[in-house]
Amino acid sequence: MLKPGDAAPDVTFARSGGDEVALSAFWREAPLVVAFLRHFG
Amino acid sequence: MTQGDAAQAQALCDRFGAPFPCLADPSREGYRTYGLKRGSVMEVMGPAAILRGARAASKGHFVERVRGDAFQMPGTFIIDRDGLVRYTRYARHSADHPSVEELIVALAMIREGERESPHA
Repeated sequence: MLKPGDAAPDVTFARSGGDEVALSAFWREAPLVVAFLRHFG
Repeated sequence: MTQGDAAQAQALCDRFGAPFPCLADPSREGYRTYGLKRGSVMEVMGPAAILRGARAASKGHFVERVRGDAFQMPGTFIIDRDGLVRYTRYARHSADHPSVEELIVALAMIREGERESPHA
């Protein structure tokens, strides 16, 4: 389990349109909230 | 972050008018990398999750069909601009999510820290 102070894993995910994006592309711009969900709604 | 494919993630964003990107992790590699595990029956469908679900339903929010692994546990993280984890919330049960207020406080603390040590 990660804890505060750990380096965040820079994982790449898919987004609509077919491309992929690494989380670091977001956190470099501003603090990032990543919510891993279980289902859709 | 969702378990479905990119089209499903986008549909979720569109449905709720999310002002942020909805990303997909159909293999759940990201879930595992962030330490999010499969829960037990009690963690996924136990009294705490049912009670929270009932409260949400009383406000008009309903759980729809789970796509992907129904036992995948959720979690929330805040990462600062240096790529450091600043907040973690590993759900204790399937409906255990941080409140918006809790996240706002955590973000405010990060911002306060940035004001004291301006980001290069």
